[in-house]
Amino acid sequence: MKKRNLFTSALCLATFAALPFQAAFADDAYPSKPIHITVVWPAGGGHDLVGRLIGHELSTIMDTAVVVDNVTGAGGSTGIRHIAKADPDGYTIGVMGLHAVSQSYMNTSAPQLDGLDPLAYVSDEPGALQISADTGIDTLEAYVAAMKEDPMGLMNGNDPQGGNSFVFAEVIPQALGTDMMRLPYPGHAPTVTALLTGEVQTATLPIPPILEHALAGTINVLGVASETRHPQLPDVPTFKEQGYDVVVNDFVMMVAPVGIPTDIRAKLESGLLAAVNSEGFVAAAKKSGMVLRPLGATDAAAELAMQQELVYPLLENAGLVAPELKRD
Amino acid sequence: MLLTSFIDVLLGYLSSPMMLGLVVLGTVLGLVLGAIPGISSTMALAILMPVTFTMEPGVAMLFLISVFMSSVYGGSISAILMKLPGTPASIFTQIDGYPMAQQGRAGHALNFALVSSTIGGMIGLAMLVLLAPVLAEFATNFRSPEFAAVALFGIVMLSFSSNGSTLVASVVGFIGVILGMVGFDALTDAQRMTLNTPMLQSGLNLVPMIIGLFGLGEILQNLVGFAQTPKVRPQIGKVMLPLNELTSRWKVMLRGSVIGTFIGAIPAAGSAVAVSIAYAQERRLSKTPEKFGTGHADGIVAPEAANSASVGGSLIPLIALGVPGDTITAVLMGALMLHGLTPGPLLFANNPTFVAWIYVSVLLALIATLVVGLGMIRAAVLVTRIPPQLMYVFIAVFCVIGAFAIRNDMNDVYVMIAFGVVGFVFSRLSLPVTPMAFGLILGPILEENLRRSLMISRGSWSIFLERPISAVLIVICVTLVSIPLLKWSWVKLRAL
Repeated sequence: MKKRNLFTSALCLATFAALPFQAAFADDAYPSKPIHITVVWPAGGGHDLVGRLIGHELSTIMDTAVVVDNVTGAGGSTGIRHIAKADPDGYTIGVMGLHAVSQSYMNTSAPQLDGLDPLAYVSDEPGALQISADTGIDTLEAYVAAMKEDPMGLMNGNDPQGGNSFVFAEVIPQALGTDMMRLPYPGHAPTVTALLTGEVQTATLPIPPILEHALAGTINVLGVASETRHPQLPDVPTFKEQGYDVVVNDFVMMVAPVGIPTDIRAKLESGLLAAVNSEGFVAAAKKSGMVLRPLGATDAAAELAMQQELVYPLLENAGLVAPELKRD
Repeated sequence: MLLTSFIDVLLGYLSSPMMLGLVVLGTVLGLVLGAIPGISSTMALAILMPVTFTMEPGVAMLFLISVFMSSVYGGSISAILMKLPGTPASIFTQIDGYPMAQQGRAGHALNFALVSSTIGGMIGLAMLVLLAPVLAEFATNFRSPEFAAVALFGIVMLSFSSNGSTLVASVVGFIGVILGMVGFDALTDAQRMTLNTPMLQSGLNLVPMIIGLFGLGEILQNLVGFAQTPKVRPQIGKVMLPLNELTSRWKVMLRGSVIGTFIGAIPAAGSAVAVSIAYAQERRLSKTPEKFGTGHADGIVAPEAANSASVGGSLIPLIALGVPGDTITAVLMGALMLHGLTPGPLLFANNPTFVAWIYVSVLLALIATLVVGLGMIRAAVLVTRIPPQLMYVFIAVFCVIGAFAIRNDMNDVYVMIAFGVVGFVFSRLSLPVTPMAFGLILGPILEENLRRSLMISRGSWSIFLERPISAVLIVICVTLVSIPLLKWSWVKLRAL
C-alpha cells in the first residue's frame, strides 16, 4: 500500500514537472494541452479548494493536465477579467461566485458579466446566522428578542460591501425585523477568528468556514437561509421553519469566456458535470460543508440572471451601485 | 500521552525509508520553489498539494510540512545571492545577506541563515509543544486594538531600521504607508488612489514592490557604475562558519525566535510582520547599529530565526483553535480537508496522534532542511561566480517572473519596474528604502485595525488604553519616541 503511494506520488510529480512541455504536442483534438482553471481568490480559500478538487477530477475525466491559477486582486475583478479576456478556446475556465455579481455593479472598471459564459453550476452556499456560544444565546427567538431590546448589543462580523456575508448581513436582519452593527473583516477566515476571540458576537457567514466550530459547539448556528436544512447540520432549522421568510445564498459556478466553439463547450460542460458528480468530489465537498446542486450550462445561466436580480436592489438600497452602472 | 505518541510516531517515521525519502524530497522541492522569487511558501504548498491526494493524511502532512519549512529557508537563498526575496518571509534577509555575499562571504551568509533558521524553527517547535495552550490564550486576546498597537509599535521601530536621519526614515516609511492604501480599502471595498484604472485597483502588492525596490533597483544602480569600474567578482570564500561566530549570537537567535513564535501565533499576522519587527528590534538593541545593512551577521540571524520560529507559532492557532495562523497554514488546512480531516477544535483534541504527526513532521523537516541546506550551500555559492553581466540578466528575468507569478497579473510587473526606478532614484539620493518596506507591511494592518477598533468603540480612542496588551504596547511606543527627546533636553539643560 505504502509503496504504491510513493509510486503514484512520483508519477504525479513527474506529470507536474512535464507540464510546461505538453503544450508543444498540441494538435486538433480537444483537449490537447492543459486546461487552466482560474481562481480569483488566493490559495487556501473556499473557491481555491473547489478549483483544485474539480481540477483533480477533471484531469482524469478529460485525460489532460489541469492547472489552477490564482489570479487575485481588486476584490476578485482581476481574475474575472482574466477569464473574460482569455482566448475562448476552452483552455481557460474559472470559478466564480456572488462577489463578481456585486463588483459588476459597484465598480465601473470591473468586467461586466456578459463577457462570461456559465458552463456548470456547482453548489449553493446558503446564508446563515451564527452566534458565539459564549453569549449563552442558542435560539433565533432569544436572539431576536435581545436585538430588539438593544440593537447595538451584539456586533456582527461580515465581509466588506459586496462580499457574500455582507449581502447576508443586509438580507437576514431585514427579514428578522432587527438592526445590526456590522463590522467588516477582509475575508471569512478573519471573521471566524473574530467570532472565536469574541471581538464580534454574531456572524453571517456561509456554513463551510464555521462547520467544524458549530459541530464542536463553540458557535451556535441560529438559522439557515435556504429552503431545506443544511445537510451537514440537520439539527439547525431554516429561517422559514422559524417563521421568517428569507432565502439567500451565494453560489459557485464554473464559467468560461464567451465564444467557445460549440463542440468544445459541450465537452467542457459534460466534463465539469462529471467532475462535480464524481465520487471523490462529492465526498470532499460534503465534508467541507458545501451544498452541491450540479446543473448544466442553461440552468447555470438562469441562476446567474436570478442572482443579478437579487443583488442589484440590495446594493442600490445600500447606495453602493456606481452612478454609471445604475439601471434606468 | 502526547509524549509517548510523539516518540511512537517519530520512531515509526525514522525506521521507514519511504518516509525519510519523502521528507528529503519535500525539502528539496521546498528549497527550490522557495528560492524562486514569486513562488511564496503558500504557492509552493498549493502547487504540491495535488501530489498528496493519494497519500495517507499523516504522510501528506509530513510531505507538506517539509515543503513549508524548507521553502522558508529557500526564500533566503535568493535574497542573499541575488537580493531578491524568494518569499515574503525573507524580505529582511537580503538587507545584510546580499552585502555579505558581495564581500565574498556568500557561504557564511547562507550558513548564518540556515543555522539560525534551524535553531529558530526548533525554538518555535519547542514553544509550540510546551506552550501551545498558553500562547493560544495569548493569541485570542489579540483583537483589532492589539493589532493596531503592534503595527504602531513596528512603525515606531522603523525609525531605528536604517542608518542616517530618523526624520528621513519616518518620511520614507510614511510614503510606504500611503502606498499601502492604493487599491480596494479592506473594510469598505471603496477604491482609493486607483484613478479608476484596473491596474491600480489590484493594489500595490508587497512582493512586486519589494522585488522592484531591492532587486531591480540594485541592477539599475550597478549598470550606471558598470562602464567605469568593472566589478570584481566576489570570492567564494570559506563556506563553513567558525562555530564561535554562531554561538556568540545566541542572544540574537533567541530574541528573534521568541518574537517570531509570538507573532506567528497571532492569527493573520504572518511572517512578514515577524521579520520586520525582529530586524528592527535587533538593530535597536545593537551596540553597533551602523553596521546593519553593510553585511552584518546579526541582520541575517534575527529575521531568519524569526521566520522559521513563526512556522511553529502559526501552527498554534491551527492546533489549539482550529483557525489558520496565516495564509500558509490556511493551505495546510485545505490539504487536511482534501483528506477528509476538517481542522477544528475537535479534530486535534480527539486525535493526539494527529498532533504528534505534526510535531514530528516539523522536527524532521527542520533536520532535513539543515542537512540538505548544508549540502547545497557549496553549489549555491557558485552563483556568485557567474559574471556580473550575465548575473544581472538573470536577476532581471527573475524580477519579472517573480512579480508576475505572485498573482499571475502583468500589472504587477509594471509595478515592479516602477519601483525599480524608485529604488534606483532613492539610492542615488542616498535615501533609505528599508523604512518603505516597513510602511508597506505595517501600514495596511495599522489602518484596518485602527478603523475597526474605532468602529467598535464608537469613535472613542480610550479603547486602546483600556485593553492591557495594547496599553502596554502604546506606553512602549511613547517611551521609545520620547527617549531621544528626553536625552536631548537633558544635554541642553546640563549645558545651561
